[in-house]
Amino acid sequence: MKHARRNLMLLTLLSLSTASAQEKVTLRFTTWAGGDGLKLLQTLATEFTKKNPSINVEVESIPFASYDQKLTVQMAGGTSPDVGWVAERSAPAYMSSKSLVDLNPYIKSNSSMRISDYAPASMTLWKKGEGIYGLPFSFSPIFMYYNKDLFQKAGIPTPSELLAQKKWNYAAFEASAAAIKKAAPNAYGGTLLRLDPTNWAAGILAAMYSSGGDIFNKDLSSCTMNSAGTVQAFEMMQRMIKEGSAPKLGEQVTFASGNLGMYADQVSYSGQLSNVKFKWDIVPMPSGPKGQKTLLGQAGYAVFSGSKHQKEAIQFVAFLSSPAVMKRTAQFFPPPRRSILNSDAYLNSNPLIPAASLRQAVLKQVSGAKALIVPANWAQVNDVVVRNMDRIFRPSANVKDELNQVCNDINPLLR
Amino acid sequence: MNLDFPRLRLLSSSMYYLVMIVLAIPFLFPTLWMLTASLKSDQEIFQNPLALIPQSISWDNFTRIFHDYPFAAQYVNSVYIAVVVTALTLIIGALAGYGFARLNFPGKDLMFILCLSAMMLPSEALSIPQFALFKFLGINNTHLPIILLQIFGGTGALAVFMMRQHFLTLPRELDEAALMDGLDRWGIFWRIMLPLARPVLVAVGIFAFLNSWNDYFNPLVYLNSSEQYTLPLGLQTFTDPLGGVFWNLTLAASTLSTLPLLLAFLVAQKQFVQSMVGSSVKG
Repeated sequence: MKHARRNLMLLTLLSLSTASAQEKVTLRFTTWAGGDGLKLLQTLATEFTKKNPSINVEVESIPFASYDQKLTVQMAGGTSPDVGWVAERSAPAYMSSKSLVDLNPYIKSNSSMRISDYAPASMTLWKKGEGIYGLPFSFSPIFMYYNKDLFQKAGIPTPSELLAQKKWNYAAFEASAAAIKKAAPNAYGGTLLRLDPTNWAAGILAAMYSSGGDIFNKDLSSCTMNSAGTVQAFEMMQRMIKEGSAPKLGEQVTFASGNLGMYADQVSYSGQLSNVKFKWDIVPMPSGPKGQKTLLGQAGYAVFSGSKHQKEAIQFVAFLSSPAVMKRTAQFFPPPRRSILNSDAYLNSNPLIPAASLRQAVLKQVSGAKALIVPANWAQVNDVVVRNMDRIFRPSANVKDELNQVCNDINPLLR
Repeated sequence: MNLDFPRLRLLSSSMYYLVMIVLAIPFLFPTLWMLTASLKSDQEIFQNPLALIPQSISWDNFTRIFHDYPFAAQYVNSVYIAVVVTALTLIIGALAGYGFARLNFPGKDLMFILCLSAMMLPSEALSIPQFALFKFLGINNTHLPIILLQIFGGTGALAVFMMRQHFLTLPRELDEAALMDGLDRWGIFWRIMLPLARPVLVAVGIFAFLNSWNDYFNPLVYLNSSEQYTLPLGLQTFTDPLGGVFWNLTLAASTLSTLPLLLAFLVAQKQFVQSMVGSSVKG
């Protein structure tokens, strides 16, 4: 890799006959954003060039499923993009292969970066030793969407009402789901799992955390998928699937279709609910024996070490993370800057979710939210769990035994 | 005892069609589902996933993919790349196949094995050196690598192989007779051999077109801007700000990207099947 980079630098030096390259720099910015999110990033890139006429930014949209694959080939082939989005689950892999640039020297020397404004939980993933290898733009706790119409049909108190009475816990979640199933046999009560089983590490993690479970121990050296808290969370989903109040694994039931009473996801999911015909609202995740906890979804801006214009790339990251710009990206991604997160402007920015609900489900949850820190080979660990999902949730399965087996398979990967 | 023969035949043939129709359902259903789901709203697709008939037909999905996304540009890219790849693969495949079958030159067998190796190596294993090569040539982020990798990669090698096998089956007496009549090598190739190779040319052409049309990996690696994308990549870009898929738009776009292939197959079906049967019997 080092040799390759040196050779490439030689090559670029040789090809520097084009003197204009020094005057005008073109940055490649990669993202998996689509739709309006992509349009906003393109607008921001143009605005940045207006302010810095010597730096041009090209926004490249790459399908999320192939994002890391493409970046890896380009980095290895010596045409790394300069700057881009990095997903939380791939950040450790990029950091351990030294593919990200340490932004800390720049942050330290630029008081305008106001790094102290970032919520501490939003930075844990990106810090390693003294270095800061990315700046988060999204700080998105998982919360519960619920279908008001289905609750009304079942004639039971809504999660918001339960929350007000301090009765919004996992037992209530399970009972409400059963009641909905009873009142509306064509619908399902609720689920903590996603449609795509490879993305299992979402809502169910909130249930695991709030009963004291986790995927790994603190230093990621051993698997704790078989701990009592994790087993409890998985057993609840197994029960719900068995009783028919939660959709079976792989069954194509979405919250947006109106056939699902409760569904755990993030703010960005609300984009799919813009013209549904039922009424809905959001609440924090239920609380469990160890309190009210949830998973914090994250993504950040990072500068790639393969970039030949690192200085300019860092400048662009600074621009994107500035309070003024983050205020604008906040309409899609809950901002990690506390000053913006707490502002009325942010709380009123989502046309679909009332400010009061957003305050309760996003703001108040953030203190109990935990970012998922994964080892560099998360993809392999995740494969083990996904492979075993069908077995774990079989009606006759002994969840504890199955999760023991999962840990037996994961542990060798962690050493 | 009066067996009504025509009616019996009618009965047996209608039974035959009935069985065939039932057997065809598993193959037809996914395509039909895609066609009808592309007229539904995103919510309706999931409300009752198996329903084939939309509650209300809306063409909105189709207008949106052209209006909000560079789908038209991606369509044009896919079509022109596939046409160029098909034409060049046919020309090179026919010439090289004829050379390997009829001409004698030193190192012929070794070269043929080298050529075949392009077909046998998985493309992912070669991607990084290829990427570095195209970077050196300065043609990354253009359509050239995608076209070249098809023509000189697995597709091209398969074309050379198929053409060579076909020319080998043609009797050498044809060449000799043509030579006696005063034709030179080029004349033999162009006037005698090529017309005889029509069924194989059709098969090779269809393979080349399909491989290029469905190529996902190379465009993913080499293309950087959405306007340059080809359809398989473009189909993955109908997402919300954080990458959640809009299935209604994706299905509308998939429908449009499948239709030309379906039509082409329906039109060329006879020749396609003939060429497959022909080459297997003779080979």
